[in-house]
Amino acid sequence: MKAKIAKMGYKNIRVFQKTMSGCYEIYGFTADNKKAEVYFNPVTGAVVEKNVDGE
Amino acid sequence: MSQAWPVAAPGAAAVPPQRIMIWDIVVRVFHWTVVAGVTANLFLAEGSKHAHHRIGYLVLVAVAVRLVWGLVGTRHARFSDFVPRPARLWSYAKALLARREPRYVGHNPAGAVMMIALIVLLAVCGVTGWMQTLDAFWGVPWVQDLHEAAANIIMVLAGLHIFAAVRESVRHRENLIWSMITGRKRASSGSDVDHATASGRR
Repeated sequence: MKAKIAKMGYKNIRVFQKTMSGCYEIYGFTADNKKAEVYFNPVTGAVVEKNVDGE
Repeated sequence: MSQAWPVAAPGAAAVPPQRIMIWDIVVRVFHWTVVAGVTANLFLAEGSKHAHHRIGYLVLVAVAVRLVWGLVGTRHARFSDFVPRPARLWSYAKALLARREPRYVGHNPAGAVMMIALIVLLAVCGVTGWMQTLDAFWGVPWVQDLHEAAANIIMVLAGLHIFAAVRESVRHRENLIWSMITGRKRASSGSDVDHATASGRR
């Protein structure tokens, strides 16, 4: 899963955790160095929700 | 309330006790800015990031102004007027338990401790909130945890503060909530303490 997320361009991941609902949540940075908090579907790895700085 | 007020002539309204200015405009604006800001950020603006940040910064500015005002402001606004020494706090706490606590015109010693605790927590909450906007502290768990813990403790202490204000209003028969709007309180009389530290220091 971590590798999958890294492949999507997220880097410098500070936090990688499972939320209560079972999603994976990361705090890290996007490829262009924006702060990002992103939730991933634990089965498919699809982005469920993302909060990126300035977006 | 042992001493007599001017006796009213039959049929005329009694002369009300003198009401003097205790909480100056800076203290009152600070108080209600914090009330509005904390309420909004705890219950309304948690989902809206930009509003939450702006409100947080506004409260931080208010705290900074209040800290300076605590040094240079009017008499009852100054920390030197109301921050108690442990012995004074202890004797007040004992009197409180015995339900014989004196009425303070400014902050009573327990209230003073509440002020200090809330100001410190507001500062911690504001600073850790701001830290999360920096790349250096983005997503750092202890910053998030401290921010949340401070916010939750503020919520609990605010509840206690409201309870104490209402209870003290009843005990000393004056509306303290209204006093924080008008700034005026009943002048000291009898066993009331006007200057919190008058007999403690200075």
